[in-house]
Amino acid sequence: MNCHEARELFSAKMDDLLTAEQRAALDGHLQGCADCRREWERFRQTVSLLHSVGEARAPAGFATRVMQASRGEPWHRRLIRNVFLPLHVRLPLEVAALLLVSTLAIFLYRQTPEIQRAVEAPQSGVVAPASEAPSKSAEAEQVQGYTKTEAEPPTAPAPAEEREGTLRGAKDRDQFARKQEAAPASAPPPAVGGRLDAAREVQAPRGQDVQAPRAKDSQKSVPAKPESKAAARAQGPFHLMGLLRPKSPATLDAELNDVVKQAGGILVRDADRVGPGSIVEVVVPRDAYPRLEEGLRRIGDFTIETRAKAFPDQVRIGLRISN
Amino acid sequence: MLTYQHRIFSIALRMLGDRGDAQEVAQEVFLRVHRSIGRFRGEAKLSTWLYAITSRLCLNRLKAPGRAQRAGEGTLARVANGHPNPGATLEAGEMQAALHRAISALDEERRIVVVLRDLHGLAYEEIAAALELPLNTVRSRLHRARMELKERLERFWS
Repeated sequence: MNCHEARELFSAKMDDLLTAEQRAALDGHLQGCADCRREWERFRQTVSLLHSVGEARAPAGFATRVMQASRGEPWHRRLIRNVFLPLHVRLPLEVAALLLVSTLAIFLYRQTPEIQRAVEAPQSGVVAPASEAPSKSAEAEQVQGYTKTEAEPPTAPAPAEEREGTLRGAKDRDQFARKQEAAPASAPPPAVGGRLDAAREVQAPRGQDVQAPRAKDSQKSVPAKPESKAAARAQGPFHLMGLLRPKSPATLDAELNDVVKQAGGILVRDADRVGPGSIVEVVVPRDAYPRLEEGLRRIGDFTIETRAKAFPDQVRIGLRISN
Repeated sequence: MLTYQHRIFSIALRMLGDRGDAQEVAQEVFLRVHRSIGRFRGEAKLSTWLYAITSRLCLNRLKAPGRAQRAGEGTLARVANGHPNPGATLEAGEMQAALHRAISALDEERRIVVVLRDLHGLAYEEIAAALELPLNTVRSRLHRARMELKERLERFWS
């Protein structure tokens, strides 16, 4: 047995775990090796020192505290602790919850067309937002080449009943569109708030595809830029829907231009020439409406079909031309 | 619990070197036992189960981030003073402090074996069961730990 092997057995000797053979070999080596004997003595003293360290005692009341903790907290204390969480815990939770709800709301908005229509309905209502009205009027001027004075001042917010009417109109449009899909020929005429497209659909002959004339019209409407017309249509419902039976269809186009021009309004046409079967849109200042109506009655038999209870500053009028 | 409270607290104190930490760990040991006593099937001794939980919690706490800054020589001195009559057979306070410094300087894996065997008198088999280690590994770690302590206390033996 060499010194290394002997020292590897120190722990086993200390714990009295050596076999008789191992003990004899180790004791023999220790008798003949002073270094290992000294090392063994130091090893033994070290372990004895360790054994002499007493057991530490738990603090007074330790067992009682553990017993109380093991019984659990009363429910009312748990509730209070949960409600009044420390701020550094509560704040991140609240922020996370806010972000989650916001993300969910945006997701639902994007995924649900009904919500988008409900949100957009007030914006496309009777009165355009003040920031949009002048620019759209300017677009319409370019379409017709009319000289219009200054940009209209920002319009006042619509009265409550007008807004309500607009919302009703939006609802009616939805119902109307659904009925058109179900039975295109038997659809009812549009109420106030119906748009040009909806009015055209009403005029379509039974069984005719209502989309076809619209595409045709859009091809014919040379004077109006497609995006300008789209913008005009997107402005929302009509405040008045009327039927005009001209005395002279041949001169109708020129007469109508003159009347609208004199009233300081703008005319949006869907065709090169206005004639029976056409639908035109006229936008005039509220004050000029009586002059426009007077002019229309001079042109022919003008019948008001539907009319909003009150007009905004800029009145949108849909005119159906008939024989 | 009354039987083991001092033993568990003492093991935690010798491992962690801080009375507050030791108290928390010891309390957690008994709470865990209380919660899962229904799952104890009696295949092992209750004491072994307690030592196993204690050892695991101590080792986890020692490995926790920021723990290295807390353990220092000041802590070791408190360990020595933790006992009302620490090391009654120790020759002097200096040797006493040196011993605790040497223990806490041991690698955690070796320290737990020394604490269980030489400071608290557990059998090799019980240590192996608590730490879930082979018996030979326990023997080997204990021997290395003792030899290391002998080296660290060299100046007291000359």
